[in-house]
Amino acid sequence: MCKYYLKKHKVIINKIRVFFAFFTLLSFVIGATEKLDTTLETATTDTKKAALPNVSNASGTLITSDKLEISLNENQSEFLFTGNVKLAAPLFSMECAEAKIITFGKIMNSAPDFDSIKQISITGPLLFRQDERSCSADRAEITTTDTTIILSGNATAKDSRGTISGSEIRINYMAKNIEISSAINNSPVTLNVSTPPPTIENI
Amino acid sequence: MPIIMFFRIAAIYMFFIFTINLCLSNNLYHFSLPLFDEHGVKICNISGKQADLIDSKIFKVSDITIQFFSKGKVDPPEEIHITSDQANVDSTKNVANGDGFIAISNDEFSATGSNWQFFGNSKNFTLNKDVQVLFKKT
Repeated sequence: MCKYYLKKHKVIINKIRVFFAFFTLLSFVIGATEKLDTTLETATTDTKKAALPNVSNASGTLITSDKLEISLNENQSEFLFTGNVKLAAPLFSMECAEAKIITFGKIMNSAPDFDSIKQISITGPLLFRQDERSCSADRAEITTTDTTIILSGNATAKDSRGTISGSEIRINYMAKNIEISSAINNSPVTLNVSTPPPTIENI
Repeated sequence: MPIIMFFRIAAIYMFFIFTINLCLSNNLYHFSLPLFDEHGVKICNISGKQADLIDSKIFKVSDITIQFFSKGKVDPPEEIHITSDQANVDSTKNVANGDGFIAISNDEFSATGSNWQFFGNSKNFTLNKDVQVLFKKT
């Protein structure tokens, strides 16, 4: 009986076989696509992780802020950081309201210890720290090629030996020395030196 | 016989559904789109996991990667690398933006942030949140 029906409906049975084969093939394709999605998701996540600056082994200058505007150019690029700007360079750190950074771009040049950064212009109340020394001012200009920071506008430098105030403070951040200037209207440079407390040897 | 008719109808139904989906689809999956200048040199490559056409000119792209290449070279090296988990791309104005994460990097720096805009003509970026930039020491 079965053989009779199989012989009679041979064509239809072949069509059913083709139909099931098609569904089987379709399921393989769908399964492969899902696997590809998973692979791509993993690759994308890895890309994000690789893209994040490695803060723990920061080989460079790390800057964080609320907002950033980048203008990329072959000759030089400009970065404008605004809001809670924190700069951590290899030799010092700074906090300020706004910082504008210009890089060397494709021009073959570099600065000692800064490499890609050519110039940093800082506005707003700023705080500079290097070792035990801290400085504050209204403005700062950093020229990386001559390793100089110029603080201007209510500039003050303070360390364990005392406090110095003037219109302009020049800091060589490589040599770690400072130079104080008076104001244009000849206002004096003030110097407050801390005397060490008396010890048994001094008495 | 009814079973055979059922399979015939099911097969025809699946065929039409598949065809209709192809015709109405406004999505691209796992795409890569190279762009060339007037001299036939590749200047940019845009790739992504999925692109949905929102209106006639704006695409919503997930897991987008944009690569800019140096100009004027036969086999140009990569100049800028941009990745983001989600972006809205306006192809007519050549701008993109997104609320999520973005990473931008080249030989000089690596930057990350979120809530961003990118203007392709001027290569200007704006990051409005959680900005972190590392200027590389070579």
